[in-house]
Amino acid sequence: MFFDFPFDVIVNILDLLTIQDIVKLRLVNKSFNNLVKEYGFKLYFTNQKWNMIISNINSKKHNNPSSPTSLNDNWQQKVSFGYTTQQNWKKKFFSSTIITKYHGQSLIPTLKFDKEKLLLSIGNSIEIYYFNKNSYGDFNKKKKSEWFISHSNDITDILLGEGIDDEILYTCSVDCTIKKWELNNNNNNNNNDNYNNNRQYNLTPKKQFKGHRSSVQSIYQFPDDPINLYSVGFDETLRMWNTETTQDKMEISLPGRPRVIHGLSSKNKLIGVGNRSKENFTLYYVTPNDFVKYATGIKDHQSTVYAIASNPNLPNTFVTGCYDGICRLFDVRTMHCVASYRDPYDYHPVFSVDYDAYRLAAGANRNGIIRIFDLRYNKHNHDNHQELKKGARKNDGWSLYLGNNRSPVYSLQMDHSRIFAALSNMIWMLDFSKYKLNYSNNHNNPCLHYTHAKNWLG
Amino acid sequence: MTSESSEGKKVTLKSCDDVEFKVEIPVASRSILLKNMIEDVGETDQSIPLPNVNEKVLKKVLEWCQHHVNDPQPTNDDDDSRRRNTEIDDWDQRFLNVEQDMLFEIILAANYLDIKPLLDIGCKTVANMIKGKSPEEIRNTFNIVNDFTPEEEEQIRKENEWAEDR
Repeated sequence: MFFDFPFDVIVNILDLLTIQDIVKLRLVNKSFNNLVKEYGFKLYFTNQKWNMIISNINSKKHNNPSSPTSLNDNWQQKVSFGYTTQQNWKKKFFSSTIITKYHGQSLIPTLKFDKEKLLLSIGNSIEIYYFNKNSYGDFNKKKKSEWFISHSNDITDILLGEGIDDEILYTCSVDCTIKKWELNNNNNNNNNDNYNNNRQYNLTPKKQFKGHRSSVQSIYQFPDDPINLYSVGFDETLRMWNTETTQDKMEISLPGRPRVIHGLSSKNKLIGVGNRSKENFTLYYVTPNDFVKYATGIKDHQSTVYAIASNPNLPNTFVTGCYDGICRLFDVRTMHCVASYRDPYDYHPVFSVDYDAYRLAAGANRNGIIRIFDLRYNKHNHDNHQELKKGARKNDGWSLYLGNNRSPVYSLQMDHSRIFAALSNMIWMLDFSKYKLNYSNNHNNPCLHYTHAKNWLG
Repeated sequence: MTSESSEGKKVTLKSCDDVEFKVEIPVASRSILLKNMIEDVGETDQSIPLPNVNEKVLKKVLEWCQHHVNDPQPTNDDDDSRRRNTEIDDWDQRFLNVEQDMLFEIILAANYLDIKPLLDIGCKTVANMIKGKSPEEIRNTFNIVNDFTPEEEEQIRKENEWAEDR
């Protein structure tokens, strides 16, 4: 009788069920089991809007043509991943791993990751860690790391090309230069037993960009425009480079020492620069012949903006992390701050920031603290920024202490399930999709170290 | 459309078992299918045949339409909020407190006649028959026979473990 319903009616009913009800339906009988496996999981996944954030779950594991149920297994796998991660976040369950450690050194490392790899700048060299394609969040043991000396002085920022350009890498450095690299994609050689771990590359840069008269602090490129590259340096200039000719096409002087540059709107070609000046945060439109300053500016920041983040899944937003200890969420369409996040007991400056559709993570300037905030004002309506009112939300967050460490969190990046954080002497990965996994052999696992999650409110 | 000209005007609906119902146009227009038909055809004395709905069910559905005749038409915008809200108001709850066969037929009719709010509360009622119930209870409710071997059941239980509330 139930199966006499037209398909959209069945979909309508499945829509109303919790994940517990949905998996339970599998036990009713074979028809219900098939319904859930064929449609239930996929529907739940889409309704949760997880397709927006969980795009990089690997599906190849089950892409075995000899297994007819591969697609169904995959949706169950995806839903189970999304659900487990969601629960772990809620309960502050995660596994922590120190990816690498530098004894007796005090560096300012930066990190960037994409679907395939994690890149670290350590001093003047770059290290690359490839993820295991078959297991989300794990590293490929066979292809552990590669590193190459890349500058004559410390690297200050790294930029990964996106999409088809994902083998392109830009670095900038205290040595006043920007360099463009092309990474050799050897991912297909994974099964090659002769493959050498920890091998050192002597990679030659594809291009070099010279012109800054002082340390280059930060670089940026709009994802849809691989030709132009933007940079800021301690010579207090903002520059635009042609990545083909390496020509310094445009240049404008900044009102103070810049910290960071980031694109705020790809559509409007709007760029934000955090700098030490009266303005703290200056904005420029990129026109064909010039940088045009956004006249009214944004006046919310009490001191220098140290970090800027954007999220391709939330195209009309960006977030700033400020020396005044506050993270602010902006709507590009109105250029207004729609929400601000601050630890009520800890006013330490924000050094790094990132966010996804649910959370915002901010690295503090000392003690290895990461603060995590619920990004949404209204849990049921988190896409609607117009309902967010400045200062109207309760700061719902918690802090993480990355070991017994006095270092700032210099660099930080997150996705749906992981946070990567760079401290002066170690690089951490916090993985919220796994909790049970490493916990039991805590003692024997050199990667696991003490972390303390402190609750603020409730 | 529901201007004064249509006030008091009636349309005749014919169920699949050839019973005719004279219905005020605003009442019939709760059904998007009928609303569009009436708009297309204009004034007519001819009855509209509904080959998928029998007398008993049509009577019930029209009772619902009569009661909800002044409700605002649903828009696409509140699709999400409607779905999230699992509450059913008292009158509707009493209205749907019928034999399961009847409930299912009302849902099918609401789907055929395109009466979204009625379809929604019907689906919610069915979902509530599943929510929080054990597989055995669901089998009893829907009169379903368990066709799994104990081994198969065990296998599925194992596969479901991740969804358990930890």
